[in-house]
Amino acid sequence: MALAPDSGKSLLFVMSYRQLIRIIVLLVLAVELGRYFFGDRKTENFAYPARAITLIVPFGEGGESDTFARMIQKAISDHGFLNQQVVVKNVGGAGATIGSGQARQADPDGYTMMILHEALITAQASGKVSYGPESFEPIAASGKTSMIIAVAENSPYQSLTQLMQAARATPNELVFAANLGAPVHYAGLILEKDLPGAHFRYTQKGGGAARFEAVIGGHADVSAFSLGEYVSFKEGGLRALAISSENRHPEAPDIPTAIEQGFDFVHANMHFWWFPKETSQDKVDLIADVIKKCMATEQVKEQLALRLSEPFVQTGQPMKDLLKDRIGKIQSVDATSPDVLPNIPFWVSLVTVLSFIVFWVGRRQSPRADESRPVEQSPLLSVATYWRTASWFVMTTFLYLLALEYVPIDFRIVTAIYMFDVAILCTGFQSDDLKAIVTKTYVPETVILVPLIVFFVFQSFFSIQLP
Amino acid sequence: MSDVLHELTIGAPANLLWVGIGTMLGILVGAIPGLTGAMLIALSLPLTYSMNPSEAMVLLVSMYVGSISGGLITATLLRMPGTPASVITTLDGYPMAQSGKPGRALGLGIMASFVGGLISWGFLILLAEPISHVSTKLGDFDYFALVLVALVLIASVSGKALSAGVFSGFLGILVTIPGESPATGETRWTLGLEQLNNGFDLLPVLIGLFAVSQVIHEVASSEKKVEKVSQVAPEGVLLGAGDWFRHMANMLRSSVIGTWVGILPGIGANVGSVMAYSASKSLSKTPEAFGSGSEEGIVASEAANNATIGGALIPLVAMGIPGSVIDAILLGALVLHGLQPGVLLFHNNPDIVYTIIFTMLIANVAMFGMMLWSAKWIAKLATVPRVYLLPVVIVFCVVGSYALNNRMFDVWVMMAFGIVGFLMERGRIPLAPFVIGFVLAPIAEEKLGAGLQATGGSYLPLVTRPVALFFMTVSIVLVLWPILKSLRQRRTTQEEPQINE
Repeated sequence: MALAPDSGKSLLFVMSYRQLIRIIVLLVLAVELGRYFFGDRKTENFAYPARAITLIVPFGEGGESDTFARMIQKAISDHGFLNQQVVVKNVGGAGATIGSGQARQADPDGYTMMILHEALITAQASGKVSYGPESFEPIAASGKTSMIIAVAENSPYQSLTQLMQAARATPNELVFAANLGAPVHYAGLILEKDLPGAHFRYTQKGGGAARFEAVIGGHADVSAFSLGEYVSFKEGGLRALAISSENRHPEAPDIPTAIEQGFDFVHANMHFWWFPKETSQDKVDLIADVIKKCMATEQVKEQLALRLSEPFVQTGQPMKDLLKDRIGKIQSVDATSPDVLPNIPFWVSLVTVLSFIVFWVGRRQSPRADESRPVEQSPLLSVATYWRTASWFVMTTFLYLLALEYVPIDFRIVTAIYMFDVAILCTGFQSDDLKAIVTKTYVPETVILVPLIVFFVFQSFFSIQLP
Repeated sequence: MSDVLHELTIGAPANLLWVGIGTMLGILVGAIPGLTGAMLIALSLPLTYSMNPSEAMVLLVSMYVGSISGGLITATLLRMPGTPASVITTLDGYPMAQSGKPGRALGLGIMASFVGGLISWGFLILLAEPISHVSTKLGDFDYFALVLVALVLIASVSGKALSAGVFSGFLGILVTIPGESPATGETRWTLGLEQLNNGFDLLPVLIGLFAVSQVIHEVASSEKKVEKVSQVAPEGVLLGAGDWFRHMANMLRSSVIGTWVGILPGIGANVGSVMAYSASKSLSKTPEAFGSGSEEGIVASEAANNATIGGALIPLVAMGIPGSVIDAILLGALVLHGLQPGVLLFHNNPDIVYTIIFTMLIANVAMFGMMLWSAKWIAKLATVPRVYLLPVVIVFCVVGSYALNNRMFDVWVMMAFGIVGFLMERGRIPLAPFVIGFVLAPIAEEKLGAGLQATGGSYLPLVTRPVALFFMTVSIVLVLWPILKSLRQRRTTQEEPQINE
């Protein structure tokens, strides 16, 4: 493909080739513009929901919450419970606080909702973030999975009572594999509360698989698992001491409940659905109803049964009471663990500063001796021009990013303008032959087509909402 | 076993079709920064509901293999790591492509990816069971000591500029401090910004350091006219038998390292390539070539990151434990198809497990074929005039960083680190140690933290656990080695002028 003009062919041929491409690009552009303006008007007169609803999953792809959210998303679209799509948006990280922060700040127009279990409460209780459930409008609680307290098969502890007695006899000796600040951690803390004097030593392990490995590898004495996790790992050498449900589970009737053994530990992991605060009540009711319908479908029931979850769902006042009870339990325990770690930020900063001094002094003494990579600059180019162009480019990009973030113009338009700017910078911005760039190169085609393609691939295919 | 192979190939042509589609999509997604294999697989899950479980696994595992391999294309040609796993490939792949050998750079990466995949597949099928049991015996202190070895290898990758390299490495570690502490989950140094709770994300930082800094440099230094398509023919994609033999030892070593790193949960493909790269450099006869287009560097990085696929599948196959994020999604897919993943997966559903294992093999061959076939055309990317290329590259950087977590914050992070990387390169501070520190420090901190929490603050296991003791000794030797070496070198260089006189 001839990317540059006048590559030896006859002028006529080049021109017609170019014109053909240009006509195609203009056609695409016209179609897109038409869709853009036409599409905007179409959606105005519909009742809620008039467009797709974004569902924020504050975890990465593939986790428990993500799988659950996508299961409900599928049920909604399979049965047509909403006349619009639900788009899953994964915003993972920092114990779900990045995603919950985003949901909290979203417009309360009913087009952004979030699915998040007790981590919303525990993150606040452990001081990670300042806000909690009070900053949201709860929609529904759904799905119910019990927790299991388990030890390794060769562990000396045969019952929860034995384990807790040992934790009291030698406080802070038994190692509890936890995900600090998350519900698993609170399982241990709530158990401790029932037997004053008993204390575990919590160690950060994270997800179920990591906790399982820690227990069977002998690196931790005990941990808590969801029933689903326990069932998939138990053959690897786990022994359950207690289940956190009120009654024994029909699928695992030989596991005694914590209540039977005298511990007031009743807990089930649930997925709560949230709207930003001040979303109107009719929207809350509508979505609550949709979630209720989903939980009643066969496909959801079947998939939950596989994970030993119950198709439990609760809305309205009973759900709010349930939530209140949870918050009370979690806030009644103290999640701070003894600080045994060195002050890592301090040491790292200190060493970085020291290494910088060594580097600086070394460079001053022999400025050229440690040349590791020659600066590849064209000899024709003055240093001043180099830095000036670089700063121009950086500033243009800053403007572009600011426009993307704060100016409500379509992504494609801003990007096309920006790309054109960059292309001009590449050809030298003092150049007075702007006309030549437009007529003699493929720059216009590139800057029109690329944003359209990017937009199509990311937004339509991967359903990522671009800024 | 051979039944499964038959079933997957001749028996069911549909499966071969799924391998083809999956691998191709995976390569594409891998090559585009911001689109990850995990994303593709999660999005494809609903599409697999209508398939039977083994077809679904064939499609998803092929995507996995493709997505880890595709990153080398953009890393080599545009210095834009398509996936974090390929960032180490940019160190040598890009300089080599720039020096007029884009075809050979791609060819080496493709060959190494293929061999890395094959070797880790060998481990997967022969040794899954025993290996995975050994890996659970390793405690936090053992992991910490192991990561420490890789961290001190920073000194060895920084070349002649030891002090600049060490500074760069610590800077990389410093950048991991803001955000959630990997050891306690507490947030620190966030300046009150909730967006910073998770610290700086890996991909925006890497894209910034490598791709954006390069774009800034090229925009600033481009000749002030529209260049013609250069006539460098992208030859050398197909390597001769001599190349295969010459790099075999390196590929074997890097693949073994990659496989082992893959087994360890929570440590991704990028760490595998970092460790293999460091090891190859310290064992190389020409360590000074690393970072400026060394063939060994490309080979080590690509062999290792593909080997992590087989490694990560080992705990999945043997114990039902996901060894990587993508493996976790694969397990989720099994649940959606009505299979119970877990320790008994192999026992109850051997057909599914063998499907996964053999798909990895076939997809690896498919990846090799597709990449070789297309490399000749793809390599031409390196010769596209910058006036077309740079605007496109920067837009992909922006969109890719945004798409990762759906937030503009990551784009600002990318831009900031683009400027940092640009200034570092102009100040002749190497980027490789920065990346190594940045990638490894959180793991070291997490493991040390978990270990100390479990012992109540005692460091004793570092010397009482044999594995930890071994790695601690290795790292101490590694710290002292380059210092001794540079002292000796300085003495010889001081003597040289006298000889000349």
